[in-house]
Amino acid sequence: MQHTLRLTKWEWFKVRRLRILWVLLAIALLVSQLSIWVNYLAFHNDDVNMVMGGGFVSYSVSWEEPTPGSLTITCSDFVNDRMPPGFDQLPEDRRDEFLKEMDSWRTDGVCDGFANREQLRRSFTLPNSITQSIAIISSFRPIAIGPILIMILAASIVGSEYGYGTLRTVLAGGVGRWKFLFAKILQLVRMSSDALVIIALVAVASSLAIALISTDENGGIADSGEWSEVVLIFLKTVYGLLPFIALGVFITVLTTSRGLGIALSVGYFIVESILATLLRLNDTLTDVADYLLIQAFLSWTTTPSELNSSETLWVFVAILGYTAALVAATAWVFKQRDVGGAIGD
Amino acid sequence: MISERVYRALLVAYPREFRGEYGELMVQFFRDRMRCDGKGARGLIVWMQLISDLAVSAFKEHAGGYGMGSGKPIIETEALSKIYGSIVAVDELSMSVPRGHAFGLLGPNGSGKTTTMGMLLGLVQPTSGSFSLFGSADGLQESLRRVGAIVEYPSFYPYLTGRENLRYFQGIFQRGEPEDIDGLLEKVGLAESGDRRFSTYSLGMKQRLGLAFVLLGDPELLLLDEPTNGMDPAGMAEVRHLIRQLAEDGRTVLVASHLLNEVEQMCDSVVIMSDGNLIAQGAVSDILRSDEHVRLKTTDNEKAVAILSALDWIEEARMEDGEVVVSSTRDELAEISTVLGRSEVYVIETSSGPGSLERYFLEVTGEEGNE
Repeated sequence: MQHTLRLTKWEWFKVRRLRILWVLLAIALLVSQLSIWVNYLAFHNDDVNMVMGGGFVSYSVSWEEPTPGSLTITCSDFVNDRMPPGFDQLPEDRRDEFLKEMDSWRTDGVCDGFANREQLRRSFTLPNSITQSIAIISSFRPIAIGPILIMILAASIVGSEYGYGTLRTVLAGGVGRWKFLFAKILQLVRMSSDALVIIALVAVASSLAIALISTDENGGIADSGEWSEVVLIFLKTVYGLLPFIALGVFITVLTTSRGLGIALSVGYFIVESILATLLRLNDTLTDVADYLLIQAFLSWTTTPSELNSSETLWVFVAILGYTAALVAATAWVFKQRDVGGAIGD
Repeated sequence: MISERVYRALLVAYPREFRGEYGELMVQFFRDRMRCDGKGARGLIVWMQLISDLAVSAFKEHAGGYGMGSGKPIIETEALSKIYGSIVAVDELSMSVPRGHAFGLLGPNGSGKTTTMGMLLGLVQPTSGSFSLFGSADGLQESLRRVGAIVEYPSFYPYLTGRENLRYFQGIFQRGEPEDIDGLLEKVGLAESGDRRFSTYSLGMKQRLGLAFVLLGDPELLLLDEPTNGMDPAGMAEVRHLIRQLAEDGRTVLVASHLLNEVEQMCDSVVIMSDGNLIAQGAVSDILRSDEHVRLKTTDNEKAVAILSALDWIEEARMEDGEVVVSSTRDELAEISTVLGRSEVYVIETSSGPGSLERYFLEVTGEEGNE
């Protein structure tokens, strides 16, 4: 174990010089910052909020008696329980009509996609800004960006050993195959958790910057929110990424190619999405779809959790099972294969 | 007190030389310095010998693990085979490489040299057969920690500098100290370019870095595949010298090369492979001696060939470029001349040539030379 840990340390000595590592981190940071800055803009701009909420939804009423007037209510007013100016002048008969329309908005969930100001504010103040920026990495729709990035990294790190022919140089020096493989997997786990820490720190910096540039009463760095949520989403995301690390490494070891490793890893997402859709067409197979790798990951990392305790346990077990099975398969293939020279991929 | 000089003499002498000159010295020493009489001194020495013999036999039991004293070959293969589908890359190869030698592995392309090296390094799984390194029953990984190897060509991380590559491999192999790297770079002539990225190196520089890499931690056994590939003539001469030096220092160097002249200059012994089979093995000096020849111009060359071919002590006699070429040494020239003279064939002109590994190689592999 000590030797494996030493190999992990030396893996970092080498990997830190790979450009792809920093490019992928930059992408992750960019996406993670979206949740903070877009919500900040939406908080200060109803137009942005409306676009985010699914368009400009409004209802207008006008009247002639006793004095001509009109009013327009938007989702922004609606979700913030704010009556538009002129509501007091609205005649009785038209008021009933207006309130009835509002009831139908409520019933139909017309403004459900439109965040209220409190929700928006929580997205860029601590500690929720951290939770949101980590959550968006793990379950950014329509693609789960976190798993894709970590699989690309895994394929790059493992595939480059085949491409440069350095795997042969390493193994010829007496480094055990399994030790070398596990050191790589451990380093990938470490890098994924380090990336989440960096994302969290940048989120803190962004919240601080927003607090400094906000001059109105809506500024401020911290808000009500659970710091335990931050720890929970961090741990859940690190755990949820494990099978994707294992999958990326497995595909690359199987194909002995970085390019194929990346292509097939990304391709897996498309295949699984199609498979999940097909399975959901059948009532009895719907539950199976929920435990496919990506589906399990998304439900595992969605915050706040939509799973009950029993479902949480099963998803936990499913992720563990995928990880163990993929690592075992990788170790077996890696052990069996002859190691050749550089393939230049 | 035993003086330093006598102590060293005892160490050197004991126990093999005990009954010789040193034994007498020891008796004298004990008599003089410890005031024993001759009988007492001898008794004391017998006891010391017993204790020493026990220690030596205990050491010999475990000597294999230290690669010393066991006398076993450093590399030994037994019917080692590798088959890829219908292709037999290595066919029941049995060879042994003695310690402290520069050993050449020769063979045409596709003869199985690299596959053999791959199997010895645990990179290629043998289909059948077995092998051992250092004559030890230790696991292969343990043995490989004492081996420095480059197979086919040096493969390093292109985005790291030469120095960083060495540092990385030093770290994962746990060989030597960081301070060693400067010395190694200097040794292979890369002191000035150690901080350049590997991707910017020429082929010759990559080979030099490969040599620095195999020397990390001063391994006992070096496996080098075409170590001078891509080097300029001066670099090739340096590498040849380095390899000779390493062998003279007691390390074992296994060199796979297609440059026969180079192997002839570097190696003490060779193995020649063809189509996965071992077709010849032996000391270079023996091979060269066996290939020695004399060239004769006679009054009747055809008759001379017929006469000499019939002799059992002449391996071969043939016509070549209007001369009779006889597999023989210059010492046997007088006798050859006498034999021919008896049949009224007279030698007009003679010359002799040294053996050539290239000629021997082409002959045993059945390859066509370029000439």
